[in-house]
This record gives sequence, structure tokens and C-alpha cells, in this order.
Amino acid sequence: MPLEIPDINWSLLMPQLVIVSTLLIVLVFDMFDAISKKTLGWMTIVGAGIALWSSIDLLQAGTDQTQFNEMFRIDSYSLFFNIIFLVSTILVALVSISYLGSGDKKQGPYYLLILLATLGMMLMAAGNELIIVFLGLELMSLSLYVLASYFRESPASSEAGMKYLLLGAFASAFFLYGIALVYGAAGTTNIPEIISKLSVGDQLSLLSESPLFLAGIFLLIVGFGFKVAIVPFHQWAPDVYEGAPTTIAAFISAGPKAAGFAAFLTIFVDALPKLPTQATGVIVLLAMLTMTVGNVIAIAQTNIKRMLAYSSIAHAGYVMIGLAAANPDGKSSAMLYLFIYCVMNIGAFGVVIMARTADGENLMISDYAGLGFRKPLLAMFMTLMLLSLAGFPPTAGFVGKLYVFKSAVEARHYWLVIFGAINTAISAFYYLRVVVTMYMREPEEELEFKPYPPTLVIGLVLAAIGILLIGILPSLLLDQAQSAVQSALL
Amino acid sequence: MALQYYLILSALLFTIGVIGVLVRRNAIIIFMCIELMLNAANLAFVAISRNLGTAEGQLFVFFVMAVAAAEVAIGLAIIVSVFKHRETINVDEVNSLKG
Amino acid sequence: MLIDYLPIVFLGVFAVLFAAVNLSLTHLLGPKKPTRVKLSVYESGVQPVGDARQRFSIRFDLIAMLFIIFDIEVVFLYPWAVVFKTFAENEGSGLFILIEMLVFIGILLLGYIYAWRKGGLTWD
Repeated sequence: MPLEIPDINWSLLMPQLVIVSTLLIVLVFDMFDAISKKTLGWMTIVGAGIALWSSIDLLQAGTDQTQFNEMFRIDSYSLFFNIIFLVSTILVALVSISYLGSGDKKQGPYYLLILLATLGMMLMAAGNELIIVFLGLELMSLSLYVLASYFRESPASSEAGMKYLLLGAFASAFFLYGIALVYGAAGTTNIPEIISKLSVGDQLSLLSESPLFLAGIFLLIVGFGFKVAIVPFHQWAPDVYEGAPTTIAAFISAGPKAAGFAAFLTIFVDALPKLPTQATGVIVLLAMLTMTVGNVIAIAQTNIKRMLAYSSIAHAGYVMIGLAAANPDGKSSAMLYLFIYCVMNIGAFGVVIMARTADGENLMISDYAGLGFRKPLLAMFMTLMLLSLAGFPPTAGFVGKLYVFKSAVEARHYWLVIFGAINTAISAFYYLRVVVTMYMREPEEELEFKPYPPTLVIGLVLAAIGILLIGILPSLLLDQAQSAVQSALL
Repeated sequence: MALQYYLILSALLFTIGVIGVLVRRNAIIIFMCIELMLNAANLAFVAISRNLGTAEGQLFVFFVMAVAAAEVAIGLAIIVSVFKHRETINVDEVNSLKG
Repeated sequence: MLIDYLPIVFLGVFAVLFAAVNLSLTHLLGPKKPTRVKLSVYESGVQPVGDARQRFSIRFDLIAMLFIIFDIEVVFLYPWAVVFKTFAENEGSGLFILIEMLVFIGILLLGYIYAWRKGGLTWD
């Protein structure tokens, strides 16, 4: 067998290479105790910033190529997702710098793991081969297990880490077995090849009805379902969000969810029309369940981190609407939604961190009573993030929901849209309850908040600007998402 | 031998792993069952790869093994840190987070 | 075919029977005169101290984990070694994949130094 080294165009791999180099630099610098650990945070931000800039650069150049024998796909789809991940990473790193403080010696691994997780997400979005997607998924998940249990002195954090680990590894095993079965049925793990094998001309091929293949697809749905926390695979999410450090809860709720959906969308949006109709039925059912269960349980929560956890489950349901629509608009609207969701969710968690007192975090919703006029800046940020999560105009959340629902209407999933609309109304109730608590209630006791750290305020200001900008000028982002999907079709 | 025997064996191993995860309450045993599931997938990969006459599947097994080793290292470290706090790794007793 | 393995089956069966017959015969026919010294765990040697099933120090866990992590990476050297010669015959590509492997090992080495610097290898 002749062996050849594939042509490698290193300039196309810039975003990933930059992240790897940043990772190694942080690793080396972490070995010297003389260097302030805060610098490592700034290095992470600068590295992610350069990678972001080069992703945008490649996106504008209209890059559309595969690398490493078609294992790796650098096109506008993966580049768009790179932007989502890198923006999340930068925001989380900004929020983390003050959260971790300066004295702690154990800060180095924190940024290392964040960078590793980001690299894993980028691999997932760029994977053109199921095994690359699996490797990216594991790189991301393994880093997140450690991050979730990062505060070793806190029992809650360790417990969150263990729950996340056991359920996450269980889901990974399902995912891997799904890959094995799909590989057995289709004879390849290359995603476009598998999809093209599903049909012969206009007819569906035998593969699309092979039990082995369908079992594999089912296992893949289960695996992804766990990773992006859709009902009924969501049980880990509230516990992990509550127990993990708040910055990490923000990180887990944003980037990894987007990465899970990046791979989910690549495989399923093109494959769904070629699978038996029951497969679409399953996705529609999961979307409805996820939205409803997430929103209804969120109403009953008194802890704000758990409320945000259930709200993020519900948001996965809205993204599933775009997936169920299985048309180009569905794909681009899901991408747009994920971007907006990441920004506003990190923003919401950022405000939770802002509301810290000397004895720790105030996580009960009742603790927010009366903040509206005592802490106007904090209350203003919180209100904006929650309004956006609820989907009120002129915020970005409204734009996201609008386009997702529009794509479902085009695909004639009217029930799904009705469910989505009802759920938006339900969700408005618990989001607005927090706002009402802040402005209308009198506090039971006076809380002395710590002064706001500047990096945190910078992060929140950036998130707020992003939300308003996308809310007012949605075309900025939507055009990019649409052209990303268009180029993939050609 | 035909491919189906290997696939049936791997499906059996996978099922034993799943049942173990659902039934056992000791975190380390749950973890071992998850490793069994991964190895079931490895067996399927090798058998299918042999059947197709390509080397891909066998290479995947290398990656899966490396991933599994990393997972074990991280997993045991986390389980040890839970044990230090609670003196137990029974998953039913580790439940301070309501859920 | 399976029939070719028949001699091995015979060999196995014979070996098991031979051992079983000899052991049971000595057990049945041999004279037994137990004394206190004969019944002790070692007829010659050191008396056992305590139970063998005692707990190990948790520090072994860290060392074992570091060993597994670095040990399993060797697995990637094997497929590389298999194809290296084929590549080496092509002009230039041999150097390329040599450098690739050096980069891989270099990153591992960096991780090893990191574990070392962070005190992962010290016992106290």
C-alpha cells in the first residue's frame, strides 16, 4: 500500500495551532512560581483573542477545505462555531481572573484545562470524521470533569465533579458504541460519506433501514443528549451547575453545549431527511420534552444557579427546534441561537458572581430582593440578561427565538412552534420573577457586597453590548450563519 | 468466523456494562463497568475493521485506549477527593446537592 | 480447521489428568505426621507479620496514575514504527514524520516535567 503524507496547509489550522501554542506557553509559565498567576489568565485571553481574530479572518476569506485526508473540515460552519467557543472562553477567562483571586497557587491548571476544553470543542466542530468528533468530545469532557471538581476543599464541588464524571463517561461510552455500530453498517466513519451512502439517486438506500445503522444512530442521539443536557438525559446538569465553581458553571453551560450541538447538527441536519420518519419524530418529541420540562421545573427553583441550569436545559430545547426543522434555515438559526445563548448565559452567571459578599456567594433568589435601587449596575446587567434569556425585544434572545421558530414554520412543524411559544411564556414568568424581586421587594437583611472587580465588569459590558447589538442589528450575525450553511451545501 | 459472533459478544459485554452502571452503587465499580462498555466498543471496532479489511478501526482502538487511560486517571482522582470529604463513595449517599 | 487442534486438546486433557491423579494419589497413600513446625506458614523463613489485605498509602494512586498516562502513550509509537520505514524510503517524508513524532514526544516530555515540577513525583 503506498503511503503518502497528505498536504497540510498550516495556515488553515491557525486557530487550533494558536490555542495549542497558548496552552504550551501557559504550561511552561505555570512551572515558575515567580510569575503571578494572574498573567496566565491574561495569556489565555490574548491567545484566545488571536485565535478568534484568525478564525474571523479565515471566515471572511471564505475558506472551505478539508485537511488530514478529509478528517478535518475548515469551512465557514466550523469557523463560525470556533467564534462561539472563543468568545465564550474569553468571557469566562475575564470573569475568572477576579473570581480566583491572585494568591492561589493552583490557578495554572485552571486556565490550562479551559484551553484544553476549548481545543476539544474546536475539534468537535471541525471533525469530519466520527472518531475526531469523539476525541474532541473526550478532550472537552475530561477537562470539564476536573474543572467541575476544581475547588477540592469544597465537598459540593467534588460531588459535582463525580456526578458529572460518572454520567458523562457513561454517555461517552454510548456515543462510542454508536460510532462502532455506524462504522459497521456504513463501512466508514467519514460523515459526508455516511450521509451520501444513505441514498442512491433519489431513492433511500438499504443502509437507511439497516437495524445496525439505526441502532447506532439511536445510541449517538443518547450520547449527544447527555452532553447537551436534553430531557430525559438532563439530570446531571442542575447538580453540576450548583456544585461547580460559578465560573465553570457558566463555561459548561455555554461552550460545551454549543460544541455538542455543532457535531449533532453536522450529523443530523443532513441525515434526518434520509432516515425513516420516526427519527424526525424522536427529535421533535425530545425538543418538546426538553423545553417543557426545563421551563416547568425552573419555576420551582429557589437557588439561582439551579434556575439557570433548568433554563439552560430549556434553551437546548429551542435549539432542538432548529435541528428538527432539518433545513438550511434550521441549521443557521440554531447556530445563531447558540451564539446568542452562550453570550447571555455567561452574562447571567457573571452577574451571580458579581453579587458576592465577603462570606461567599448569595445563591438564593430571595437574596436579590431590593438590589434594584441599591446596586443599580448589578441589577441593570441582571435585568438585561434575563430579558434576553426570556426573549424580549430588542434583545438578542428575541432575535434567536424568532429565527428558530421561523425555520420550524418553514419545515411545517407547527406543533413545535406552538410548544415553543407556550414555553417562552412560561419562561418569562420565572425570569421576570427575579427582576420583580430585585426592584419591588424589600431585602430581609442588608448584604455588604464586595467591590466589583474591573475584569468582571469588562466581561459583562462586552456581553451586554453583544446582546443589544445583535438584538438591534441581527443581520450582522445571521448573514454569517446563513452563508456558512450555504457554502456547506455547494 | 463470521462478524456477527463478535458483534453479539461485544453487544453482550456492552449490556453487562450498562446493567452494572445502573445496578451497582459503588462509584469505582460503576467506573469499571463504564470501562467495560468502552472495551465492548473496542471489540466491535476491531472485528468490523478486520471484516472490512481496513486498518481504520484498529487505529481507533488505540485512541480509545488512550482516552480510557486518561479517563481512569481523572476519574480515580475525583473519586478519591470525594472520599476524602465523605468517607464513602456510595453514589446514593453522596447526595448533598438535591436532585 | 478445528480438527487440527485435536492433538492440543488431547495434550491438555492428559496434562490435567496426570496432575489430578498424582496429587490425589499422594493425598490418599502418603503418610501424615503433622507437627507444629510443619503446620506453620513457612517451614523455613520469616514468620508473617499482620494481614496481607491492608490498605495502601493513597500516594501509590498518584504514582500509578502517572505511570498509566505515560505508559499508554507508547501505544502510538507502534503504528508509527510500522510505517516509518515505508516513509523513510520516500525523499523527505521520512524526516517529516520523524519530526512529527519528536513533537509528540516533546509535548509528552513537557507534561512530564510539569508533573515533576508540581511535585507529582515526590513522596512527601
